[in-house]
Amino acid sequence: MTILNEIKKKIQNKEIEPKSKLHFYFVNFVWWFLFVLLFIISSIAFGVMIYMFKEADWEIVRLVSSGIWGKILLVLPRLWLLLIIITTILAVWEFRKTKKGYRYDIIGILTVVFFGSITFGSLIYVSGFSERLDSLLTDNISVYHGRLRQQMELWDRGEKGLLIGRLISIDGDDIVVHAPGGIVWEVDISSVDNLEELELDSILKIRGEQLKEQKFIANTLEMLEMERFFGGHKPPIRPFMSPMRGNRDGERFPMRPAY
Amino acid sequence: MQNIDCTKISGKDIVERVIANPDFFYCIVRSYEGQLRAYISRLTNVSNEEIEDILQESFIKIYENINSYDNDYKFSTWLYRIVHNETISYWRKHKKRMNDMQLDISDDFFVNIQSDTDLIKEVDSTFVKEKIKSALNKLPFKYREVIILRYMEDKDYQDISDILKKPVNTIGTLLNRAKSQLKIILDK
Repeated sequence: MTILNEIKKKIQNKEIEPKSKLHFYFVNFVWWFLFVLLFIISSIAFGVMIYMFKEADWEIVRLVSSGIWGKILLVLPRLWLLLIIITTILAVWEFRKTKKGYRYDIIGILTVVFFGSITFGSLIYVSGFSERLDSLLTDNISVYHGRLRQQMELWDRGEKGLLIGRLISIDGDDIVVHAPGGIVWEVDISSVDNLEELELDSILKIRGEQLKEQKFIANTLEMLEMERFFGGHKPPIRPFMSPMRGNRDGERFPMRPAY
Repeated sequence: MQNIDCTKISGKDIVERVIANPDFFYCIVRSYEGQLRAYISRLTNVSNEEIEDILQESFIKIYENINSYDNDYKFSTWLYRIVHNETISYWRKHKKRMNDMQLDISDDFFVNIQSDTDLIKEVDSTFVKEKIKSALNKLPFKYREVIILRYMEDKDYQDISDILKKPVNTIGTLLNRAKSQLKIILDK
């Protein structure tokens, strides 16, 4: 039997029909849709990253780190950066899947997607959407702490005269602050001018000086707006065993939990 | 089938003609069977039965996907792409290594490659031809496929780009590298 007859027989027996034009339009549309979606996500991520960079405590960054890369690493929102990398790679891949996407060089597509995302991301930042999104995510997603995490990482440096943490006890001019890393600090706030009324469980940003291990004297103190940052969720602070209380043998508990 | 005019099978209305009369598809099979069979054979050098299988599957795919054909491509380029993909997937399915293939080389190839490069100065002797054959068989598959399409199938860069779904620049680079590799192997 000739190949022509074989093909005829197969087409007839299996009732094979050509797929409709609509099917191919739809497939191409899906690739384009995914590409545009990923490009938008990447742009939004860039927008939030610009916001994080713009709003970072650069004075503190300069204080705690030397060298441009050290400073960038300190304020770099790693989650958003990871999202940018993943979405950009996927966007390039999706574009290559479109009907004529293969005709373009990968580096070329990557460059266009990257700079396009920066441009579009800048517009998103200017529109104020980046800030709103960061607040929205902080308020609604318990594991996301966006700019607050950046501040936590930046300010949790007792040895550099910077402290951040949850206020867990007040005793006259002495307060106890539980830092994100798990360390519990005893802070003398007698030197702080214009001290506002402190609330237990509030998050404090303190500048001052470390006197000895877990002992700190504050010069300035700022209370962060809990609702603004946490929206009812717990802040990203590691739990501790028992703050500033010794055991029966008079020893202090380890301040950094084992996990 | 007897009443169909198979003379004008290329052109912009090819899809419409197949849709209007499915028998017209068999004109495509008749017209391209030989060319595509030779291409599969050059690409893989498998047995005739296997070529039949690949060709059959390819034509079924062509029929199924006839509506995806875009007039921006040459019709033959589009056919080559499907046959190429089908050949590669056949090899993958049967877990055979592309580098195990032995090329079947015609005399046209030597004329084409000689006119395009200074790689081969003298191709008259059987000895040189055998040497080139052996060198081609030693080339990695990604280089061999571009050499086959350029010098055996006589495709231009844009056609090769559309068949292999790679940018034209990449095709140029692959061809240059393929020729360099060929030269290295021949000089040994």
